[in-house]
Amino acid sequence: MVPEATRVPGEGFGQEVGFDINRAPPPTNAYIGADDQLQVFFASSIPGATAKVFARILLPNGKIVPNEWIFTAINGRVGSNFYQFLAEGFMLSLSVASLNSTQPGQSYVRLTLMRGTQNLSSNSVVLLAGYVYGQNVVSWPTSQLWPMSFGRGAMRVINGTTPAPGGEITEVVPSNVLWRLQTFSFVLNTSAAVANRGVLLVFDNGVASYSYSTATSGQPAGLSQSYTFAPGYPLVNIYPSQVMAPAPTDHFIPAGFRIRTATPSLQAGDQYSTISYLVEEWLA
Amino acid sequence: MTREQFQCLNCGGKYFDLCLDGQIYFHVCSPLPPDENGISLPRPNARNETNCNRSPDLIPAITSEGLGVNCLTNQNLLEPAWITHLKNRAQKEEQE
Repeated sequence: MVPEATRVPGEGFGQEVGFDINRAPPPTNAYIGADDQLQVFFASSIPGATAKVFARILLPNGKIVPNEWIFTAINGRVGSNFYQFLAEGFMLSLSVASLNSTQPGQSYVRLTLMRGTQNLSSNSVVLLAGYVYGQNVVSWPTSQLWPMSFGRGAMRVINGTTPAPGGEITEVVPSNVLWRLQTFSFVLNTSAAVANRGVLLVFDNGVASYSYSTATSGQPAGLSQSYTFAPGYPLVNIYPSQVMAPAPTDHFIPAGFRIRTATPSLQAGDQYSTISYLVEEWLA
Repeated sequence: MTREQFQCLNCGGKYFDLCLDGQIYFHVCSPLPPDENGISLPRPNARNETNCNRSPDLIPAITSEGLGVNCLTNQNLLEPAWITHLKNRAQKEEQE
């Protein structure tokens, strides 16, 4: 029988249940001191993405208080740290849901219980981390800590920069992102200047090239050809205007690396256009 | 959000500031065409719109402006709106 003095009514359903708060063990190991706060790291590739954080905190008087906060990603893929002061007590549960992300790889949340505002200081413990999207909610203490590069990424179709006539295609993996290339396609219109243009798809780290994929033996003058490079594709020239060519398989490309063409015998009037590629994207 | 087309005043490349999925597109100038030895050198004054501030406690900023851009679809824009927004945030934070 719980002494009357320590019976504290709960909220809503089950309010007749009381706790012997003087003798009961801590319900979780996440004790919140008076100076502790919750750091919310939120990064998203979706402009204006928002995340809803729910917390249930057991106060010293035995009352369970629900909390709800909404955070907006203001720094895009870089992410932002938000700091939320908490009441003293025990954190019972945390969960995060996204209001506008639809795919994994888009919006990443990490919740850390910490003292002060130093980024991941020694006085901190990460409680929850993972992508939130659609109906996929991450929670503590039930979810694992998911790293940013885990699982399936967001599938994105990107239209690249159309270079000036005579220029090569160059696409760069943006900061704070990891890509896995699925397809890369473009059109090359060759001018009347007589030469066979050999199209190569080149991968480099911004300084040194490490992979060359060849499309054909050469595209002659006065022709428009569409090229698609993809892992697993055979090297096929479908006369007169379609070329399929292989690209590296399961190729992860970090920030700053480039995907570009290199075209021996490219003429000043040749024009690359309709650059479009499919990537699987994670935040990094 | 409206997509606007820009032309880089350095490399001459044309691009939209937003992808079709609404996410930001980051233009970076291509290197110079390869010389007779097949060596491709970096383009001087290259524009690089990828982010150079990677700390979550800093406001993101583009790596280099290069020679700037020209908006082909909206005369009132000097650069992609998302870059102006970041600059305004940084300026406001400095003033505070």
